[in-house]
Amino acid sequence: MRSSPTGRRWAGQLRTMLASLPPARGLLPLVLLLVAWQLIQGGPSPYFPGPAQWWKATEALFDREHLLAAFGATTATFLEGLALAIVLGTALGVLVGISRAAARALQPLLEFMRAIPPPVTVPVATLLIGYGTGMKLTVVVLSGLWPILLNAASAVRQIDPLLLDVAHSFRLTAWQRMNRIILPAIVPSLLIGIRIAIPLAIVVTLLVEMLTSLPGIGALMIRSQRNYQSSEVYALLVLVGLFGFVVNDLFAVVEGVIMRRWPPRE
Amino acid sequence: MPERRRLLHRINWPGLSTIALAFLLWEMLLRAGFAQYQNLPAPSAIAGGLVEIAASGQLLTDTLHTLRSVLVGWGAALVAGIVLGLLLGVSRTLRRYCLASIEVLRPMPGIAFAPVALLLFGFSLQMELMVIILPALWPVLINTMGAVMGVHARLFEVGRTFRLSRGEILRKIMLPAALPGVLVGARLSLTLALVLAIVAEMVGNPAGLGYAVVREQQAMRPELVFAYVVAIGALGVILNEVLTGAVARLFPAASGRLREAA
Amino acid sequence: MNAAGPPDATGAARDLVFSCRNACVELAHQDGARRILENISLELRRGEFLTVVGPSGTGKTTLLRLLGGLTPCTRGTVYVHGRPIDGPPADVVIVFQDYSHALLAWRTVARNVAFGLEGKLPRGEIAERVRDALRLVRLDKHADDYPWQLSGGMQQRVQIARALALRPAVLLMDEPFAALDAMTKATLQDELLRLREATGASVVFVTHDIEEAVYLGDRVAVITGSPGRIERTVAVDLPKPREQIVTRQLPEFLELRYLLHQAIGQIEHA
Repeated sequence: MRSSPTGRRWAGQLRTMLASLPPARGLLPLVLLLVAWQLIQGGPSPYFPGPAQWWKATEALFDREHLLAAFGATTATFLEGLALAIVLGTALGVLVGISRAAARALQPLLEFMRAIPPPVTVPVATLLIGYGTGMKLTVVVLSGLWPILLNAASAVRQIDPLLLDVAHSFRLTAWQRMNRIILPAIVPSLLIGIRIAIPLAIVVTLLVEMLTSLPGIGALMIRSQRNYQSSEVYALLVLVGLFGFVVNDLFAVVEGVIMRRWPPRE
Repeated sequence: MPERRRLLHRINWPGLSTIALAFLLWEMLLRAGFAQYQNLPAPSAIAGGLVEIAASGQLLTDTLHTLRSVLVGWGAALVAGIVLGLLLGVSRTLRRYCLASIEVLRPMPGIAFAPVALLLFGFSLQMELMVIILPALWPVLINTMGAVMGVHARLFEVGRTFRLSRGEILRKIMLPAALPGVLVGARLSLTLALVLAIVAEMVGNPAGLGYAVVREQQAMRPELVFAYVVAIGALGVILNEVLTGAVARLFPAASGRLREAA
Repeated sequence: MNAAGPPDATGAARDLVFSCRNACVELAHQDGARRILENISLELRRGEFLTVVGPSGTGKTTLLRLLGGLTPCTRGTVYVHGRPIDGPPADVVIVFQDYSHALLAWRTVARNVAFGLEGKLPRGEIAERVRDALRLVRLDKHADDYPWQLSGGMQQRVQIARALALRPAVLLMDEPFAALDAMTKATLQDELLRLREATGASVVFVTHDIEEAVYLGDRVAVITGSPGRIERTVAVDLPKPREQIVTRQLPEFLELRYLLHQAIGQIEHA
């Protein structure tokens, strides 16, 4: 795999990213904070249990509360919702971008949906669809949909008309034009939209789990909080933070690999 | 006669027909059993709901509560973000020792702080603030830092060739040059603060607009749920407009430059 | 150059504004120090217009920054008014090429021009100097405009006005007209000569345009090579006041132009 062009792209991207990481000594403040916390208040406590307690709580959660299953449920919802949002957002966005009539028609609806913060859609969806995985998926999709849709639409509108002339002069069919020119041209903007959608999708996934106690990390967090299990709450907080961090980094790597085909930005 | 035709042109016929189409689609979804019919309120019911909560004063109470959380949280995030952003922008050493930590903390979703905040502060304003402040701080910090680092080197050389003191260079060159970036961060932070306040109220502190939506949903009063949704959307738009207007009034040069760059 | 008296390194005796002998400038680079300028021996007399011409990459800008106190010399010394340079000298001002980055975008034209005077003079006097400077560059009607509202040529004039407001002894100008179109350039060249007559300032003017160097200068220094060296200095003996069409057609002008082309071209082929 390493010798193929794709493999080389991945290897090169990882190398570039490793080189451009902020210096590791930058983790010092965090490490110092954790160490200080552990030294000052290492044992169990209702409010500020030490980091060692968090680790113990993680183990307990693992065995007792099926941490892995909850984690899997959250990740599954997040990924499914994001994937659907990407597909729908791209399709609708391209439609809105190409067709001026569609843009005008959907304009009031889009403006309205854009003004509503994603978390607010959760109670509304619960009201209209009820408690269930259908509702859960719907809100996650909706939360990630708008940034992707709007970015796709504006990217389509900004395609250099020259490229469309090229398509015309090569007598491409509409389908070929879509595949060979329009979709590739909007990829950079789409990636930016996805980057915005990811944290929104994470928040909404957790929110749904917290509000409805559908299985997932969010439900676990609320349950631990209601049982005053402070170490568990902190442990889950760290876990969620790690999840967010890993997802963002993975996406950055993927984004980097895809974008290597484009001229460097600025 | 031609005036009426021009007016007809200006009405967004496709837009209106889409809304009608949306209602039709909704009807079909209901028939298919996917959505629950009795929970979908008609627009007139929503309007009636708005009147109801406005008249009873409930809307005002809830709005003021959320507004207080938003403004206090945003204010704290602004102060901390600008100070830290300035320090990090100016000092490479500080950046070297802090950036990695910031990169690790930044992706943490604000909602994850809600259970901890509930543990520590129970149902209170402080609980909401704990959810709001840290995530709302990042846009301010990052944008301020970026703005300081982005001040063109030539401007500093102008300061030196005119033999300005270090303090004068900071005050007369760096701060005004960085201002547009700081304002962008402030605007992003305000929008984020509103969303975080709503989340904190949904999941934690039972007060304010966020809690109102959940409360009415659990009370099975769909027209009030939608009424509060409209109110939240309106609050977001109003806050944004007020901020933009205030910026244009207080910093005419900076908003001119922001508009130029846009 | 007059040969009265023994040569003095600082040039104080001969009332020289600038004097440097065998100055060297090295700048730090990723693979070690790189020598930008070598063996720079230069003098600037009071009231003189010295143009420095040469191809790009020869360190012309670095020479200007050396005289302006922004870049220290690694070897040798630069004397200004007989004293060694230590940071930007008090009555020396640099006018940069990229005017859009050198003006403060958030200040009006008038406040930009006042920039160098703030805290140094009483407010009334500052206002008067700003008015005079703007009138000199013929921008008094635009005192309350913002730089982004003006054309490139006007913005450069604002930068010149800002420098002139200080009543400096020396103007150091780094290819100030390079980014402007030919007609604006010609207008500003004449305006600069007029301003020099009016204020009596000495000027060091860096350019890559040979014709501009001959047109404007009392003396032209040719800088070539990498690291940059002053190959030779030529006196410009053209009648004043200079005139765009007439002066540029004089046989002496064409001779000087040929000479300088040769000087630069020769060294490149060596």
